[in-house]
Formats: sequence, C-alpha cells, structure tokens
Amino acid sequence: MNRHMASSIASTTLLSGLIWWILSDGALESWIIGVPAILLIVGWSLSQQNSFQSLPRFFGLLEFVPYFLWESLRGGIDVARLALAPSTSINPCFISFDLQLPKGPAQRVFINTVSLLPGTLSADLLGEQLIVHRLRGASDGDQDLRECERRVARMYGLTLTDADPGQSSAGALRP
Amino acid sequence: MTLELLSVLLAIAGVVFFFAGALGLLRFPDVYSRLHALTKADNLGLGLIVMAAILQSSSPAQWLKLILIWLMVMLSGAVTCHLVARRARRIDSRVDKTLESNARQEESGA
Amino acid sequence: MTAYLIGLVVLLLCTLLLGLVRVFSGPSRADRMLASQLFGTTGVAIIVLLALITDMNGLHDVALVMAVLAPITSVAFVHMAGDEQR
Repeated sequence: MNRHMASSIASTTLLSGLIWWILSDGALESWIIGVPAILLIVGWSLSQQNSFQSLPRFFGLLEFVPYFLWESLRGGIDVARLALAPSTSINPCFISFDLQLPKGPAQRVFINTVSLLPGTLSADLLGEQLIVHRLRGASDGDQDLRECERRVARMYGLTLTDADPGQSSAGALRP
Repeated sequence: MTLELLSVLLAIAGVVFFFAGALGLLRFPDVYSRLHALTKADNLGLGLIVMAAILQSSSPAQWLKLILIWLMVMLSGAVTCHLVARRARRIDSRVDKTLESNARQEESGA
Repeated sequence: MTAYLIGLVVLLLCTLLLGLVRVFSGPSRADRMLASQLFGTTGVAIIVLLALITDMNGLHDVALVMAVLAPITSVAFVHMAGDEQR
C-alpha cells in the first residue's frame, strides 16, 4: 500500500462521512447504516483503476473554489444582462478547442466547468477536441479556456501535455 | 436585523436571475444560447437563494445541506447541459458526420 | 415577515410558466428537453423558499432528492427522444 492509496482511502472516508453526517442531520443511530455504506463506497473506489487520481488535491481545491465561484458569478451576470437587454446582441458560434488535459476525472471536471464560465458552453467531445459554443463570437480567442484548463490541471497536480499553447487553433467551425 | 435584510436582498436577486434565465430561454435564437441562459442564470439564482436561506437558518448541518443541494444542482445542470447540447448537435449537424466518425475510430483504436 | 417570501415563490412560479412557453413551442426536440432542467432548478429553489416559509427543515431533503433525480430524467430524455433523426 503506497502513500497515494492511503491518502485516497482517508479522503474518501472523510468525504463520505461528512456527506452522511449532513444527510442524517447528525443523528447518532443513523450510523448503523452509514458505516457500512461508507465502507462499501471506499471498497468500490479502491476497485476502480487509478482511484487515487480521481480526487483533487486538498489545497488545489481550496485554490480552485474561489476562482470557480467568481467565474460562475460573472457567467450568470453576463448571460442575465444579455437576456434582459432590449436588443439581443449575441453572436453565437462553435469553436473547437484542443484539450491538453489527459482523459479522466480532471478532463471531466474541466468540461463541466466550461459550461459555467462566462459565454462558453461545452457542446461535444470529439476525441481530444472539445466543441465549445460561444455567445460572443470566436474573435476573443480561447484565453479564458486555457486559463481554466491550467487551473484544473493545477488542482489535480497535473502538468499539461502540450507545452506550446500557441499552436492550438481556435478556428470557427460554423458561422 | 441586517442579516435578515441581506437575506431578503439575496433572495430577491436570486429570483431576478431566474427571471432572466426564463427570459433568455424565450428570446435567444438557438438551442445552445438558450442552454447558456438556463444553466448559468439559474445556477446563480439558486446559489443566491441558497445563501439567503443559509443566513436565516441556525444549525451548521442545515447550512452544509443547503450547500450540498446547490452543488448537486450545479453538477446536474452542467452535465445535462452538455448532454442536451451534444444531442442537439448530433441531431441537426450532418456536416460533422465525418469528423465524428473519425473521432470514434480514434477512440476505439486507442 | 414571511409575506415577501410567498411573493417570491409566486414570482418563481411565474418564471416557470414563462419557461414552459419555450418548452411547449419547441421548435426542436432539444428545446423540449430543457424542461427537466428548468423544473429541476426552479423546483429546488421553490422548495428551499418553502422550507423557509413553513420552517420545516425536512423540506431540504425533498429539495436534495429533487436535485439528484433531475439529471436522471434528463438522461432519459436525451437517450429516448434523441435517437430518431428529426
């Protein structure tokens, strides 16, 4: 048993214990069901491959949450302003974005986060390409997506595979 | 008293975002833009309402439960949004058929 | 003091109705699939406010179950309604 595995077991146990405590309003007798359920969850997560990769690092999470909350606040305000404005000045289009994150939990977190960033929405995943729908046209580049990807990678303690982001294309797929 | 006032303001702001989301749903030109409105505005609205509820409840277990509710809705919103957008794209785009089958081959090859 | 909360719940119901217009009028299938998400999020918000009004913390569990079930209906929608070509 290596360190990764031990810390994975510990954090899975703590997390599911916390969730059980929330769900049961702290009722003491509910742990008769809670403890076996938590053991099942830990056992199941151990039987998955690469289970130690599936949880972000704790400090990484602390760093990511404020960014995420701020961006989703901006995203909500942005789209609400567009919806309430007297004339809709949106220019929707699709762009393709070359993913640098490896397949796995980090990539899934990134894909779901993109939908909450201002003006972007992940529409489809074709191999290593994420099709992103943008509300404001393709002109403003993909800096916000790169930034988000970098932060997700840091949360999981990963280094991005492609070291040259200048190569990636943000070409419009459809007008 | 100030907490209560803050809670009232947060709840009202939350409803405003829900209204904006519904309006966007009506006014935006295509499915994907409507998904933008539904996902982002409604998540933010729910977040504000949850915060308003947290300010008025006293036990920490309830705070955490409310936050858990918000997280669940946010997760399900993001996943649903991706699924619906993908389905919509695959229904109405025949242009990308070749691209898609290429990607499938890559996936099965890897 | 809860009067304003009741007003907010009524407003939320109105936005739900407004959103339903889009669900009924379509035009594409994907537009109709938005219904489950609309109901999920707005329904949870209404239940959270109702829990404040009636001071029943048990309603939070209802909201949680609704939040968990909403994506399942969406997945079912997407899989069943989307397969045939339009």
